[in-house]
Amino acid sequence: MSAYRSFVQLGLGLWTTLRQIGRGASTISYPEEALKLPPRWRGRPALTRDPDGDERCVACQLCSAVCPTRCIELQAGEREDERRYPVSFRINFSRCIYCGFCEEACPTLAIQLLDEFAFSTEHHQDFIYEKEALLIDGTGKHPHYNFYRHAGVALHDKDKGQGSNESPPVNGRSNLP
Amino acid sequence: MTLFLMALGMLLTTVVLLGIAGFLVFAERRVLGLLQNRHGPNRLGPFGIGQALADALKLMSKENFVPAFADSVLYRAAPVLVAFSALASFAVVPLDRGFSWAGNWDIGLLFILAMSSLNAYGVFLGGWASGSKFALLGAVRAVAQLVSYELPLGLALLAVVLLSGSLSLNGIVQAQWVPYIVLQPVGFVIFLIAGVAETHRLPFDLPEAESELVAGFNTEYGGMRFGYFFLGEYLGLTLIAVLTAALYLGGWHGPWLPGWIWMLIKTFAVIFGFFWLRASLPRPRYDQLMLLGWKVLLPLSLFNLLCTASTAALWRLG
Amino acid sequence: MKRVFYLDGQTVPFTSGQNVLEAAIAAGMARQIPYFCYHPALGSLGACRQCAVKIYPHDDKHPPRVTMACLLPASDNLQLATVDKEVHTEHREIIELLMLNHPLDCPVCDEGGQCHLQDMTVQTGHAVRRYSGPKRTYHDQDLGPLVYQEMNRCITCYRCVRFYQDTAQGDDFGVFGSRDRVYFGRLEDGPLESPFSGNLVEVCPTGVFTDKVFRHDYARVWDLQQGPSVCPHCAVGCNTMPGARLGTLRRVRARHHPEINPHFLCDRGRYGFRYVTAAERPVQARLHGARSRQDVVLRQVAMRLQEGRSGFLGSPREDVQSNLALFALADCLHAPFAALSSPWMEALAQQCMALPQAPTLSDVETADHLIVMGDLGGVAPMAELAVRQALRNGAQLTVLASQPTPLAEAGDYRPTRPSALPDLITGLAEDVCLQGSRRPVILAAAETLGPAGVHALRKTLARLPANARAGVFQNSPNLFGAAYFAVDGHTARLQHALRQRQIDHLLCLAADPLGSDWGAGTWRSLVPGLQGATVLDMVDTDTVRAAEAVLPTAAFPERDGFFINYEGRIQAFAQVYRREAPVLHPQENVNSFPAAAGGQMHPLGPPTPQYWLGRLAELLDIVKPWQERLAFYQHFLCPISPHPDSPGVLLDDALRARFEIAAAPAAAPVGTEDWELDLFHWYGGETLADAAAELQSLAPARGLRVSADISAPFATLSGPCGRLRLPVIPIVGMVAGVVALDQEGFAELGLYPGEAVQIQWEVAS
Repeated sequence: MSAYRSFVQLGLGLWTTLRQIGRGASTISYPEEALKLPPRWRGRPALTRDPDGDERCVACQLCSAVCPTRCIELQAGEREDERRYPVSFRINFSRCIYCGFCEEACPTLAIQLLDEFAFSTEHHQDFIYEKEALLIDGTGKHPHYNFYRHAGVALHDKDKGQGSNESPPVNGRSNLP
Repeated sequence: MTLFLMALGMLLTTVVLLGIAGFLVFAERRVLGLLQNRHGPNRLGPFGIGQALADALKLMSKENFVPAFADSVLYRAAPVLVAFSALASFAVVPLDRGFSWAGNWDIGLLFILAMSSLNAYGVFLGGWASGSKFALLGAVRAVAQLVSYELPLGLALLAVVLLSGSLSLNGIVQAQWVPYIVLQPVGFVIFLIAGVAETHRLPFDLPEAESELVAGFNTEYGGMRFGYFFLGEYLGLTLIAVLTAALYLGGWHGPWLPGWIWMLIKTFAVIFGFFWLRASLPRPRYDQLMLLGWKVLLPLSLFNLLCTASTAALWRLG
Repeated sequence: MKRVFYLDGQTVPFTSGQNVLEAAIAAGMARQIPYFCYHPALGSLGACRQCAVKIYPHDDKHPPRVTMACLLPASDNLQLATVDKEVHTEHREIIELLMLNHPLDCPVCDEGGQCHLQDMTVQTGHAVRRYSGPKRTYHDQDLGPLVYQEMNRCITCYRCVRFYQDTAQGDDFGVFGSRDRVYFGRLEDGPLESPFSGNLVEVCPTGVFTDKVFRHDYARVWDLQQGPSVCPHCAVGCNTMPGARLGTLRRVRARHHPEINPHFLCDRGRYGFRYVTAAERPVQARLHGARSRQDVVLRQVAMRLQEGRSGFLGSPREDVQSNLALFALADCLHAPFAALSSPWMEALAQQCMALPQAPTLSDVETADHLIVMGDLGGVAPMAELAVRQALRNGAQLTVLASQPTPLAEAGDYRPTRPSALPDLITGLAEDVCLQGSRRPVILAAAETLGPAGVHALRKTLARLPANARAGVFQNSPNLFGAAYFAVDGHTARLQHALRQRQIDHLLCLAADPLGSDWGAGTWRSLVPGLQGATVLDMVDTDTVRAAEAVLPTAAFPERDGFFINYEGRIQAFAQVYRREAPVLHPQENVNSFPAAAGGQMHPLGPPTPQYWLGRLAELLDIVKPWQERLAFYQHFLCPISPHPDSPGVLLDDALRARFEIAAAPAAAPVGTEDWELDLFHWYGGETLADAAAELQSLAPARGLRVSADISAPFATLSGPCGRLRLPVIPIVGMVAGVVALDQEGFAELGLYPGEAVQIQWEVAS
């Protein structure tokens, strides 16, 4: 009986493959035919700007800390108005695996993933993207967010107490009840 | 003059057979693509047919490399032995009535069995001479498999011989007043299964099992030496297909068309069947393979032989 | 019997006097009890209400209650729990209250990654601010170049004030305001005056005070390469933890040493490290002032050494191994060698070595009678901090100095001329007060005392009860290591050989004989006989600039080695990082990417002195004898090599006794009418730290410090080796007839502290 069932199963298997003749290929010839990417496809990271046009990245290094392939490397610096920014920001795209952890870790929504994922260069070093290549001219998926409007630090155009949900600076010398 | 013509003819046969083997390599990949919803090689030439040539050129242009730990003489000899034994078997295969080198040879079938045993030597020597554990394991498997399946194969053939009363292939084909598949359905199935195992093709490719043994007995081979093994495999495949056509499917018998065309059609149909099997079935475990050979096929083929023999005896008596 | 109490069913061992929190932290159970205001060095306050535990009384009458672990003395078989609903509620809600006004600027906060508040918030599970009202904000103050303030982040734990006012006894920083407007800062903007201000950064549990120097070249703490090191800026030898990233040194923090610096570090130790990254630091071999290839310079130097007309000068600024290597090379070449730059310094080093075992700083903290001579805080600030802890514990302090130093203001200041110190010290033996105290400690700045003073100190100690201890401090990290080689007259012989033109080439190891080393005036007078010098150094000095050949050496965090501190403690420091070229600006390094990003490696930094000397020995074909001698001297002088992470090993007394010499050094006689010299030392001043730009921006003006009754604007001093014109800085409370001068001034004049000097006062026009 089991031999009979085995033959039936064998036959079913053979029939299953035979049926595929004429159905055409479900694979595509990738480089010639473009992939149809879903709208929320996450490819390589890019650095976005805040609504004022300044770069959003504050060089907190969380992305480089969370990166499983350690492909992000940056150095923090300070502008004249004491605003933090990355002096250099490099991503080695020959290591990046598009896992998107950097985007999740980014507290200022600076890192957002583009739909670009296919790289080819002639030299390995060309995979290393500098900040200039990573910065895009736009706010990406979060058009209104501006980290410095929420953070407590002062900037050139924003004094202490002028951030969102902040009261004006108190007088630390007052002994009034 | 006759000798020269014969030599020329043999060369031509060899070239044609090698061409068929090369083409089968390509055809198999296309057929697998067809059966598995993908493209297969489609880059070179129309339908990608140039792929066969490209592969051959690639293999030929590779370095002839002998590993330091290998037995160099046997290592070189093994692929030649495999390719030669596969090629030589075709001498007794008829393509049409009177269209063969030695189709009338009255030990044709025995010769084929002998050659397939020689083939086992080639495989085992290759694996052993490589000096690598993967190759050795593959070779051991190959020999065990060949020994196990040679038996049911031979017994199934014996039934055919019983029916036809001849050991030459011409004789067997001519004796088929009805394709022997009708008289020998069980024998046909046994022959087919054992044939797949003999040529160690999927699903019975345990000697090569790349997921376990890298590439089995030919792990250490590369370039044209590997090419010989490869050719040997596809020639063996062709041989089993052509034997199936000749022994069970009525050979060149068939209406309207010339005999050799019938032969080719039947052969390629069987080859397609092999491809189809490969596209559909997974590889069994090694113990399952042995179990099938010794505990199922061998008793079955003996039973089949007994039935055939007793029926034939009764027929004669009656 | 081991004393234990129980926390969540686990046994916690404790010693008497500990509170529950302290014992729990020591037992590695800090995760169960969050805390803020408690600090091991500052003690418990009970202000933050965070470290709640539930206590179960042993009797049936009292119900269990929640109490503060930091205020609960540990006692036997105490039953405590933190896995409790009430305790959890307390932990969670206190954090929520503390976080009510805390700005969410962790991404731009330097404390992120090492923030106590961050850790505790995550630990207690507080994640969402439920109160939606506005946050309180503050204006910040500019607290100078070292400490950065961001008051918005404050959680009013009072750690900063407790450190600054109580521990460091600084008076320019405090707490202002009332209710929820409490403000921690100075009365008005300006640099913090305490030499320990940098500790605010470490003490603050959140990001109110952050490291301003680190800020300019910031890296997250998880990216830092850190390792055990020893501070090279004075003789105390505090344990430090330098942190580097991408081949550049970014910061230095205190490393726990139970007997020297359990928690804190002075600003010289914390910010002096910038000599490593200074732009002027020699990092490439130089020949005649121009950059050159290593092998070219080495061959040139080897050629000079081959002539056999070379002298060798070591330095107390270098570690033991390097001085040994230089000594061994000199020995192989039969060339004159000295480890110290002047005979006076040589005598001082020997006298220091011959002193009996000095007290550790933790001993100083528990002293009950202290006598401090000279400007201790200027030479070794951490020793001053220890004295201040003793003061807090009720010790009696007498300061014998010519200047009103910060310590003098805290104790009994007895204005004293330096030349009078030896006699005063001899007199101390009969001091009833000193003999009556349980743990008397005498501390002194070595140079102010001079050889004669240290000798007198040794004689006095022998006559005092055995519990009296004394320590003398100097601002080079390895005076004892160099004192090994300071056999009587070595320096004089070297100078004599140069004067007699027996040698015309000097190989200096981290010595600055033409700059600000003691006795530099004498060396400068010998320059005409010098046909060129070779310098192995890690900072840009006058000698480096004047040298024929410069072989740059690795800074201390860039190599392994040993220092021997003021108490004769051999301490090892380990290589923390490998120096690479800075990669801060991509446009400068177009084709070089850091290894972290998979790029190529950068050129390595300067090698160690041992490497250079070994290469020279190779070129001179004396590698084998050099190595044999090196191994022999090492076996003899430094037989024990402690591990960098260990507390170090004290020198054998027998070894120290070998260096004892009977002869009492004679002090130059000074008349009472003569102007007498004393050393003025700023707490941030030291050869290496002088290259640290941020720290030096706080340096006081250079000048001649005299008592306030002198009104001349300028004075010209003349000594045996030169003249020096300096502006006059009147100091109230200074001893009349004494002028205080920095070390460079001494070097130029060729004079030493306690000696008389000719002064010409310029009359104010």
